[in-house]
Amino acid sequence: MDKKFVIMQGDQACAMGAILAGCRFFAGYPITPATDIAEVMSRELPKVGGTFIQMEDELGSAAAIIGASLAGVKSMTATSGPGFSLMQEALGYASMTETPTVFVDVQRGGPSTGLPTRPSQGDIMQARWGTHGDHAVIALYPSTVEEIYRYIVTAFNFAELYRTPVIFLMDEVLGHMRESFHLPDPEEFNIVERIQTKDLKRETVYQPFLENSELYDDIQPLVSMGRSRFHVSGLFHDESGFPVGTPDLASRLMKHFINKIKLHLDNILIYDTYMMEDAEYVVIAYGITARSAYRAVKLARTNGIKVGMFKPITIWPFPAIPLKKILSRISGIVVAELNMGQFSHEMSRINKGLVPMETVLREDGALIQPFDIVDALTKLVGESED
Amino acid sequence: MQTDVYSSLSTVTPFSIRITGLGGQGNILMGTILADALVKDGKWVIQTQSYGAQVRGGLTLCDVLFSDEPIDFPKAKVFDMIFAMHDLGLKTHAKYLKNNGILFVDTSMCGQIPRFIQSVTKKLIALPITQRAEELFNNRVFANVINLGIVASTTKIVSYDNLKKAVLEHVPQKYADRNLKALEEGYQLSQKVYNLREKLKIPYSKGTSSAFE
Repeated sequence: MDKKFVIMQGDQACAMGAILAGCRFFAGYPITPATDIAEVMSRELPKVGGTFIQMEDELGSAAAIIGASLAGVKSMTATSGPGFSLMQEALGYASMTETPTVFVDVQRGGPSTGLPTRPSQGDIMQARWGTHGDHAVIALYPSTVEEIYRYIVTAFNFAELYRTPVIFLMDEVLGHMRESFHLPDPEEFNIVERIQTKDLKRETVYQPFLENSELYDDIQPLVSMGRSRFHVSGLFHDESGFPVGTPDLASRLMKHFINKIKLHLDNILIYDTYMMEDAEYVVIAYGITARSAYRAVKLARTNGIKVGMFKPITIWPFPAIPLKKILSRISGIVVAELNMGQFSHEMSRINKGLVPMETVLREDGALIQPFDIVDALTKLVGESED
Repeated sequence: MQTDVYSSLSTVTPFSIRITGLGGQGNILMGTILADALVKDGKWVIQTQSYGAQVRGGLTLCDVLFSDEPIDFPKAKVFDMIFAMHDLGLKTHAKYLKNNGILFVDTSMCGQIPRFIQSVTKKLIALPITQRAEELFNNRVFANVINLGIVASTTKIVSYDNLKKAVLEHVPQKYADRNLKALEEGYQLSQKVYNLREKLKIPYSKGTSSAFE
């Protein structure tokens, strides 16, 4: 193997991966633990001809990346929980205008300013329902520094392909930790490039909000403003982008928002399973908690418990289909997360009491210890605790 | 060949190092350089540090975990090696030293070594490092690079060549010579050599204590 073996901070990997994915505009406002992303971006973006702006606040940052993206540049912002709350309005606007953007949220303890230097996974539901109104959303959550580097590229690709804001979740430990990994070769990645206006023929009429593209056989891709003139509005709009408030059009547009994600679940749902061949129990964990869970699974295996692990990378849309399949052939699940039960709430929704379920929850800003998960497993298996 | 965290099935506990001192002493830089050098040696490394409001003068720490296997859980509770660069760090963190772990103490910055250490370990390296840095360079900021030299010569966990390379990557060009001199000074300062971890072979035991950590 001749891949370079490197050590990188999670935030740094996020920034470097984004630049690899073609991000050329970053607007942000410093906040622990996402400051390092802005710091690396401010240093590295000018080198590749990109633009870095430190905005006056998070509201401005989120609005700036939407503008930049409409102008034809792949753009992203990075923040933490408090800033992510402020960005919700713009997130809705990006949803409505179908603008490809990437919002990185390095989660810290909340609510409000909470625990700035401690990890949490408390923004899971905010990533889904933070902004008002029905909308579809894609949220990715890696669990190692290498995965950050890989999946930030995926996040940009999803944003372009499905014309939607993509939320890239991380947490304080992932963001601040420096970890060694084999640096993936840039040629390993398929990068979805933005279609430029010069690619359109002069006689082509481009309608940015067509439901199905006849030009591209799928979701109408966004081309940069320039040769094609179009209007953008947060109001319900027709194909050309001008506001029309009729009920049938509103219904059609809303269904389009939902369906463009729903009909591509096959591509969007990314998850990993470990040791599932003969598993009787399964541990479900994501993000930094997946690291605790993986150790717990290995420890439980050495003690004879046949346990496997399911690690979703795509948190939203919820990986209901693969989880349903797993639920049908096992006899118990453990869900571990650093909040008071957000993902496990969704889990119990699809489980419907089908199999016994234990949760390992923690909210004090420390990581879940592997032994806590082993403990929950033994409880599930029905052994006594001694 | 392990390719990532989830390709390893081993439950070996990674080696753990904690470097503690006051903000401004350079303990986080020391951990960063050590981590980089270990990566150059081909080890899997996770380095974390305390993030707080403190910049200078407050207690800070830097943890380095390394292993031949990919490291799954990124935190350690107890440490194979603790480097105390200041009295406050020594008093606060000495209790996290593993049985038979190695304790490094910069005696010019630390007061009395806590008595309970005697019953935890005999592997103790106590040297007046900051004082040595002042004598040599008239500047105490070189103490952390001297520390790196001592760690390399005492524990042999990291190759001296790679440590040199890592130091040069992190220090400004015009101070390169003096830093290399400090590293060399540290490397020669102590003749003691200790193993970071000693396995006592117990019959019938599979030898994994990992469940208890």
